[in-house]
Amino acid sequence: MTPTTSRPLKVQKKGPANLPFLPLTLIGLFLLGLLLAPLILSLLVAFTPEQTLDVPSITTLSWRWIDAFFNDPAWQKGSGNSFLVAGLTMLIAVVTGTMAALAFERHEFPGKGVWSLVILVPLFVPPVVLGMQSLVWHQRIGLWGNLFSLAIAHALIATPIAFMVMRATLKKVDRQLEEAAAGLGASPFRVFWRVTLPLSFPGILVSAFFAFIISLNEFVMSLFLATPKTQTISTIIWPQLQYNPTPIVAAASAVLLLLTVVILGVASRLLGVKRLI
Amino acid sequence: MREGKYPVKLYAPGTGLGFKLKNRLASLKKPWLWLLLPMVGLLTGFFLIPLLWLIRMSLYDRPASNSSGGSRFYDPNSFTFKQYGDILTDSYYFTIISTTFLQAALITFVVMLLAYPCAIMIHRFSARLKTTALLVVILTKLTNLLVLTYGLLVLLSNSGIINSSLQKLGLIKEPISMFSNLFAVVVAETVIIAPYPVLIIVSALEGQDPTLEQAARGLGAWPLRAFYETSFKLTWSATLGASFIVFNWALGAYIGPLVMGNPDTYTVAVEVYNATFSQNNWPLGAALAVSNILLLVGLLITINLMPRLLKRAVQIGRTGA
Repeated sequence: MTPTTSRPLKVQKKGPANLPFLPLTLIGLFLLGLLLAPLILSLLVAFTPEQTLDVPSITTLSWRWIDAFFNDPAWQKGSGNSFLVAGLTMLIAVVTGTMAALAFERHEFPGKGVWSLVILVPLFVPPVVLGMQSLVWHQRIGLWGNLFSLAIAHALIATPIAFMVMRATLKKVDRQLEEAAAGLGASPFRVFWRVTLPLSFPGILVSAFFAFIISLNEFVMSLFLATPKTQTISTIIWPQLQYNPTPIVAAASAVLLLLTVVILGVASRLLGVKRLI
Repeated sequence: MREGKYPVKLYAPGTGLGFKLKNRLASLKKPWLWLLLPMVGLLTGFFLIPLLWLIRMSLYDRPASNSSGGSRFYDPNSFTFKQYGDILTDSYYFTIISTTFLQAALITFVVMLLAYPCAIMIHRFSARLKTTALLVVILTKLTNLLVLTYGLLVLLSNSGIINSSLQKLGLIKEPISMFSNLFAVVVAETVIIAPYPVLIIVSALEGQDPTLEQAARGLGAWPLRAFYETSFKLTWSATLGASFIVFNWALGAYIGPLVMGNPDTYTVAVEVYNATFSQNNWPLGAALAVSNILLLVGLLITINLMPRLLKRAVQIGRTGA
């Protein structure tokens, strides 16, 4: 007689072993391919030796258009403006976002849930509307035509992102360490400077990177706010893309894209991809 | 000793005027107030007030003499609903608004149809593949829209990769028109918008207990049923939220309809720019921007009312039967 306990519980499993995975995978891979194709193409066209929009074969890659991009004074000015604006946006977004995140994660006040949603509202407003309202207001207060004008508009969408990244980061910082420092007599500012800030440094870096890329790649608001004096890379690409797409536009795109890839790569190393979603 | 025998409140400390003042001062020292100050300043000064200013500008007329060189962009003595009247009565703008709405619905449908399976696929990938796939999606989300558009131009235009390679293979003689039409707009907006729902649904799926689906299978459910009863139902609200975000982005679509489309695909967003910069009519541009927001708010209200209306309909149906 065999002991009944040794017999495994047998459950009748019906149907195939798993979800029909193939059609899902086909659709999913199609979408991923569709997302990747334009990125790869605009990167490749930048290295064409021709005058036209051709995808070069591996043997005929040329630096011609990349050189042209870096040596053209208009593009140089645009790049300079883009980087200045991105730097300013980064500063505004990181400082504002981190301070707000500290208030939300370390202090109690009424209406927290609602306010945390209010902060995210600009993310859901169409960029054209954000651009238009910034234009009429910046014109009114005399900010229009200034690089600050672009930076503040970009900060409207970069700050909520920095805020979310910093909230997630501060949640992970051990509060007991802060309490210990405070218990040993450190002032609140000193606690932040010596404990919270170093422990949340990866998060601050990531939110800074994100604010930087968001501003660098933002286009619609820049289109509304830029004047001939404050052209960014995007606003120089725009008319050429619309009327006369030459490979130099691809070169500019490729430079932007490579920068984005590098910054995203560093950010994902720092925090891990799951935290970036 | 009985409590409440004496009117304790009268003698309790902290009720006098002096204390109230002190209390007020203490509340000023509340650190969270200071910490929130920059955020409140940014959102009020550069989001809320500009929005109100936009609405205000939409209620005026453009200056009479347009040749003043652009120092004044509206006539402050002309409070009027003319811009909205123009938008509502002009059949051109009616077409634009209905195009915006229908196109957004189509884009939302296509995007969700592709994004949901893609999210499930990414969710089931092994760790390394998952990281790669997520990086691709995040990269697309962060990339400059112009870079994406440029790549699609190279892909889809008449002399683009698809057409030229099909012609080289001898499959077609004339290039297939995949550019300057609705198809190109939908493709472009799909590429631009799809990362959002994919990321939202993947993170919702990752938040689920992975053993639930196995448990359902163990209890004898078919794979599709097990998936439906566990993962699908539990991430339903995230999926709905994602589709709302997709619709929201599609309603505000600007670059896809403009670059990849033709005048038939132009949206309200495109007209905002045209009115402001081509016609140099800032009040009209402002009114169109406000209309775009109103479309969004209308959508939000409809979505909130929909479940109740459906419930009503079901109730009426039941009592009727």
